[in-house]
Amino acid sequence: MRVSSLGVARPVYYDRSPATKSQLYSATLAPHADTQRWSYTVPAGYKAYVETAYTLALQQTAPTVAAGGYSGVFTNTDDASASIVSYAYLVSATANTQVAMGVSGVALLNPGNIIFGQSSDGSTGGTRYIVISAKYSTFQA
Amino acid sequence: VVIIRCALVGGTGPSDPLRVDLPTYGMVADDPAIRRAFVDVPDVDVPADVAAFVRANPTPTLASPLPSSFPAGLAAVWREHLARRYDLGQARWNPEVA
Repeated sequence: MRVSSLGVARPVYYDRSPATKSQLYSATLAPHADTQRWSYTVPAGYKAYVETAYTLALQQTAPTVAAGGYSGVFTNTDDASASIVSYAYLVSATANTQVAMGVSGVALLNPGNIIFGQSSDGSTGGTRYIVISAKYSTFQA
Repeated sequence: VVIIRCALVGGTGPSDPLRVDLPTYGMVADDPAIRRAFVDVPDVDVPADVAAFVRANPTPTLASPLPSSFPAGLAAVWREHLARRYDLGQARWNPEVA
């Protein structure tokens, strides 16, 4: 007869149907309005742990009129408010200036929570190279 | 993943950015002027009927016309599929092949 304990511990999160996922957007862009570049919504029955995020805004060619713009990773949480995971804000009239931000171990997301990447560039003329990325693991809630 | 050309929504500011009305996607290319974007979407988020429509209506560029308009019935199928998978309410996402 096999006897098992009622007190067997639940597997740790990284052993509960884990899957690693990532998002990466990189492009050279002309000035543009606020645009969501990628999105991940945690499905029902799962959670996600955001392990790394990285954002870069690099002024590749000089604008005629410099203005602010950003590359950002954000999350929407249970209360539907947005918070910043990684944010690179740049105002520059000079080519090859840049702002970058990398973070790790930043967020635990519940079912329905969203992580998304977004950018804008309010300058006139010029181009920017932007990178918006995140790596996360999903597992059973 | 499935590459689909979708309509862009929003565009009034940072809290309402230009985006595709899908829970999970990655933007491949976009044209804000004509409000379209190629996006990659996880297979599990695309019902078979919608995937069949996309295969039957190829769009080689952002500007090329969609051979047949996206039927309202298929839009409803996609909306309900996403609502079931994410369990977040029927009216949360309303993606459109464009």
